[in-house]
Amino acid sequence: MELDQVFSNLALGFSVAFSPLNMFWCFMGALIGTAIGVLPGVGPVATMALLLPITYFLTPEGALIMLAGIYYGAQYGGSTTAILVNLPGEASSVVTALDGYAMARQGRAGPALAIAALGSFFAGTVATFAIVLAAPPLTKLAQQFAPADYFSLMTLGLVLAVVMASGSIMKALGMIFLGMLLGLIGTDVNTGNTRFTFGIGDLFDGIGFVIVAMGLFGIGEIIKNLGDPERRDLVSSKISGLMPTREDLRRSFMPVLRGTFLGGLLGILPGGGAVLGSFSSYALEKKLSPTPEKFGTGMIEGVAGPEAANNAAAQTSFIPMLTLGIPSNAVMAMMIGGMMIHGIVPGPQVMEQKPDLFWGMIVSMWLGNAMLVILNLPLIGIWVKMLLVPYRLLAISILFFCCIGVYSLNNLWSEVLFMALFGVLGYVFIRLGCEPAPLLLGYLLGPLMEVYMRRAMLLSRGDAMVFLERPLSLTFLIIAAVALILVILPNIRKAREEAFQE
Amino acid sequence: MRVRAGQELATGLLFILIGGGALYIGADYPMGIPQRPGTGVLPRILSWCLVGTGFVLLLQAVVIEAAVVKRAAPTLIGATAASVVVAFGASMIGAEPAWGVLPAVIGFFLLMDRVVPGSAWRPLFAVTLATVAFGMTVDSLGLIAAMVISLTICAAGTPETRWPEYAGFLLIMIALGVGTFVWLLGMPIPVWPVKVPDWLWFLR
Repeated sequence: MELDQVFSNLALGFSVAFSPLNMFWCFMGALIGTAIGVLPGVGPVATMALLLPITYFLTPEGALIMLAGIYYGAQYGGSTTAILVNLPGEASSVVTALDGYAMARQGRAGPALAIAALGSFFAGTVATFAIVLAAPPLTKLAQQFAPADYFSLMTLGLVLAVVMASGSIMKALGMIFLGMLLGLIGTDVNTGNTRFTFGIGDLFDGIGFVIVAMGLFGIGEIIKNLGDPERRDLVSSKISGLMPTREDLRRSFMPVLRGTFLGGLLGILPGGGAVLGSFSSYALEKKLSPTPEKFGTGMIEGVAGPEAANNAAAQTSFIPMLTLGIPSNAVMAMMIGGMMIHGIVPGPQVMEQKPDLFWGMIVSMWLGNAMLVILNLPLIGIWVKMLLVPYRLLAISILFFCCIGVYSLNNLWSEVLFMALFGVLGYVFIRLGCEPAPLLLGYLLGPLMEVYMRRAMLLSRGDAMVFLERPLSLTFLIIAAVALILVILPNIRKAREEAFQE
Repeated sequence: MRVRAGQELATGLLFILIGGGALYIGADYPMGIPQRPGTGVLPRILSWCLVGTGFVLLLQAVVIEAAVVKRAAPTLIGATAASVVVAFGASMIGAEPAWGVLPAVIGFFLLMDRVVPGSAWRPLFAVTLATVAFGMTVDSLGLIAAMVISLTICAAGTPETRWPEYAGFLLIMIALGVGTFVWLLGMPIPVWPVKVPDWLWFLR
């Protein structure tokens, strides 16, 4: 691809992202995201689900820019509290707390925060360029896909989501099947038959994605968190001087580079995303360090690497969603939900038909990251104060926003009841140690896979071999099979379990 | 390890229950021809996969800790028996045999609590009831009444609630809710009661 095309794309992106209104939504997204990231027990997925109905009132660009802002904002917020009060607001900042909090106790919270922010910003910038460079060729490739290829690619995506899921493989597999089955509820568009509707009229159109997501991630989490007794001891440490020393910068440089690369790579994979990126980066830095035994006692490398990795992964996980229309994790599923609310079908055609949306969103991610660096460091005091809001009040507000959010979709009270059902199911899954993210992916991809399966079968006149005869489709299926076999093999499984326990 | 065996067992049963139910409901969905796969193809494949996964999970549970079966057995047998009796009884008096699902669901929750101890029953009931209450009241009693009823039920779900603090917070939430969703976003939601809810038909 020519370089001037890259620049014209970026120029278009800048013109969209820097329009005052979109900058405002970007700011709002980053701000809300940071707040969410600071608060433990409120995740970005639930927040995005809550705000999906509201984005209906925004332009498509504004909606997606804001939703994206919530995601990377949450990464920043999560690490702020991880460092200051040893409370990782997000799963991806759990490892940041190890060395970051140790640094804070030594009175070096400032440098830790600054390195985390600068490392994240650097990683975000690099990852944005990675998207700019990777998106057009991938989109071109995707345009040559036949229905059979799409079917196999989605199979691969779901298999990788199983492989990457922490915990039991069989549970993740079952959650995908269950999600796909739930996705089939409603009217079968090809034949007009209804499936699993129990004769309930409000189910003929299927259960809305927002309802499932809010129930599983919003309501389910409230039940779980209210059940856990609150133990939030606020140990605020004095922040003196944000500036990292020259020594800090020198020691952080390579970890940030490695973290950016590793996180960026892992972010593209389905089921990966920010959490895997930060954990792997921490493990890598520990392995490469001449003094691995000092990790956990305030090593700046243990903050710089993971923070860069989780931000890079957060950005690059947009690549499969933007180019292929395939969500790689629950957050991307939310983004797709946001697109569909505005009648945009995610897929390779988005880049050609809506270039302003596509490039505007990408540039906004970079802009949002820059805003976060400028905003967050001075606002740290406010974020720490936010931790004083007790969960008993948070729970009430989240419940209300879930209810009104779902009700506002179609003004149907029955949908609020469906959400209650999914809330109970979400709590059951938490109790049983089943991650809900694979279910959500299956829920989105199941109906799509049926469409592509039908098209492929029609084109091949009923010959199922079509999935093995097309080279692309065969390649995807082989990768999927190999990944599945590898993960079931005992020794690799052991290593994987260890990696998740780190 | 004890908890994990219980989790796998309960998950396995849940998957078998849902997969089996989907197979039963979807039994008459047409399969179509290979060129035009019918309505029933994917549901059937997925249901069987789900049931199969469930059985593997049961097996794993037994391998991890065989004693988990002993813990689960009484509830399992009891729930199955109750479910059969109810389904049979319902068909005898001319009602839907599907009522048998009800004891099965209750039985599942009891079983889950037995093999994975520590269920948060109070928040579970309160939050679910609060959500249902909101849905059942919002379009008849209006947003404010729905919020008061539903949020109060939710607050009752945790012993940590301090009622004076809650009352103040509720007022803020109502102001915020009505202000944002009705005035600012202009959603067609009644603020004040407009009618007696349908489910209170006997009050009409």
